[in-house]
Amino acid sequence: MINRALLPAGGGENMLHCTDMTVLERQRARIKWQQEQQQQFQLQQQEISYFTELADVFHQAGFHEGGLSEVVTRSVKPDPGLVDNGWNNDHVGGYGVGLPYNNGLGFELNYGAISRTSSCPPEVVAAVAAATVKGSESVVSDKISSGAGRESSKKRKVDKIQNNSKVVAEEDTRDKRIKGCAEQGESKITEKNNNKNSRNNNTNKNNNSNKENSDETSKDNSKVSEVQKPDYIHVRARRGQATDSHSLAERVRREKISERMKYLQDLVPGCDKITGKAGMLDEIINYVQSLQRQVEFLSMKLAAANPRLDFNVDNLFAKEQAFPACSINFPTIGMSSDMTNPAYLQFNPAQQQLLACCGLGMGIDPPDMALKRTTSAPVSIPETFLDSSCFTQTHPPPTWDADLQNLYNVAFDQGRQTSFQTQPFTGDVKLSCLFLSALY
Amino acid sequence: MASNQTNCDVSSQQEPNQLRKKRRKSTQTTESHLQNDGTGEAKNQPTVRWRTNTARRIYSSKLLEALRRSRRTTSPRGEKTREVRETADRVLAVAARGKTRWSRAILAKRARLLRVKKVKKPKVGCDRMLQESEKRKKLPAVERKVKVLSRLVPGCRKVSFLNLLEEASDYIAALEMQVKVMTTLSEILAVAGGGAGVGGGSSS
Repeated sequence: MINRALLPAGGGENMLHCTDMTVLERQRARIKWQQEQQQQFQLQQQEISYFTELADVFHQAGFHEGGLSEVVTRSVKPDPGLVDNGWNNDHVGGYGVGLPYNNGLGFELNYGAISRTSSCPPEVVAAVAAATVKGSESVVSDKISSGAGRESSKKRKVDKIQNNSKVVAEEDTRDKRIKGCAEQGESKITEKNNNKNSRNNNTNKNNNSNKENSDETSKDNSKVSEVQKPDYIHVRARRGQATDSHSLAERVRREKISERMKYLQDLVPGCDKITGKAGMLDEIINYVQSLQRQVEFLSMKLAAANPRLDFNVDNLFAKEQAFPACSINFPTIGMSSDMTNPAYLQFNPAQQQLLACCGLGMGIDPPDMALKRTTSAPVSIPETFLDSSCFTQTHPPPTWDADLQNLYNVAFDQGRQTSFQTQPFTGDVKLSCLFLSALY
Repeated sequence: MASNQTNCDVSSQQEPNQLRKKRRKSTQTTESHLQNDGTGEAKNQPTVRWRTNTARRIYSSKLLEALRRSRRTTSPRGEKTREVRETADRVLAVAARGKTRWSRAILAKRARLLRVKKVKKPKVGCDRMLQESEKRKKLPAVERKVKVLSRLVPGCRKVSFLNLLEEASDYIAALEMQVKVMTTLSEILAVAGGGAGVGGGSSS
């Protein structure tokens, strides 16, 4: 592969060979890259200081390599025509001609700078290194891959001019795909390639604008005569996407928006098949409106049912009982229904159990409870009611227990929706005591 | 979630079973975390924040208290619904602990109402609005919808799109919880109210 890179540009066959070779690697690398994309964003912030340092280094290096860059630009110019074909390793090969000089120089400069920022996963480095045959080129690729994920787009332009001498070859194209690094002239290739492999597919609009931008900027890049801007945005521009600060910030913002839209998609039911902001927004609006209408309707219902708000406390408590945990307690209740006083004793631990379980939160449906109860102990229920009636009328010292029984009755009745109620609501005071006790 | 919402009608008993099973699982898992929930930091994601049983319990108890208090203090004739709804919204906003814009807006609205009576100024800018509409300034569809959404979510009229989405997701989660709690409450009240009447009659 490296030999091919060093061949003079123009060999169509070479290009084909290169393309065949790199497609597979490209695909593999793409997958890796997509996985590693997330790492990039996290690491970006760390690299800010490093980048500025790198920028300075490269800037300095530019002075030394000015002559070479001219040589390279000349070789670059015919390449744009080839760039559109896709895989332009010939383009890369063009660089290979004038390489030897800069390698050493570039290496030293970059090596020192990039080594600080090297945080690329070892796999990538290994993968890249494995591909390279020459030691020097492996060094370059290491550096590239290590610094790749961190470099800003602006940096790429700088590098392009200064490091054109670097061995570019397929490794660079691979690296870019692996880590999204766009080095030198390869940025052109990668940008073009990214147009096809657009990753950011959240909205077609975005992609189209991206492509347009990248088309323009890639053409600009081909001239290699851009002014090097010292301010670097530390966001990795993807392949085929625009590299100026505005579009980068725009892309970050778009990605945030798409992330939030995805979250909303999970939240709003029935939005799986809807793509696009407009449709999603429609659904969201409808959903919010329907929820608000429901709240309005329920508040009307509550307002109508307000007269019985006083005993809501125990209702709430009973509602909490309407939890699946209650099913555990029902058998005990049913069994103890035969006994009278001993039943009280049993109720207390059951009560505590319930408290523990009910601490978990509200249930929704008393009907749940009813079903449970009817299936588990249909016979015992009437007995409990009878017992409760006896208990409450006698007003034994443990009124607390009587209230408990009342609560159970309430729960039962709510579930069954029968007029089976005995006297659940006779003692508001007692019930509020119960509630208070339940609180702590 | 869809099944939860359709539980407004009590008659459907199949879904409650599924819900019950789901809730059983959630309660079992949250049991161990009860202590953590009380002292630990509130989770970031709206779904987690508003779907925990703890949150529901807190909201329901607060709502009850507030409803009872409002019941005792005032009982306007024709505006019970609005009062209940505003109480519910206020309690929801309190439950949000002031971390979201819409909750702060709801509370601020109420505070403003209590302090200063709303004086409806004649719309001076009305003419301008008419002129603009005459010009047919058609904003892109997305932007129009963004405006509608910003009007729906309280306190989010001049908020950026990004933040609006975030507020909307939190608001939706909170509204869902509110609907669930109020549904249960209304069911219980309805049943209890009916049962109490019968019980009172039989005991006497």
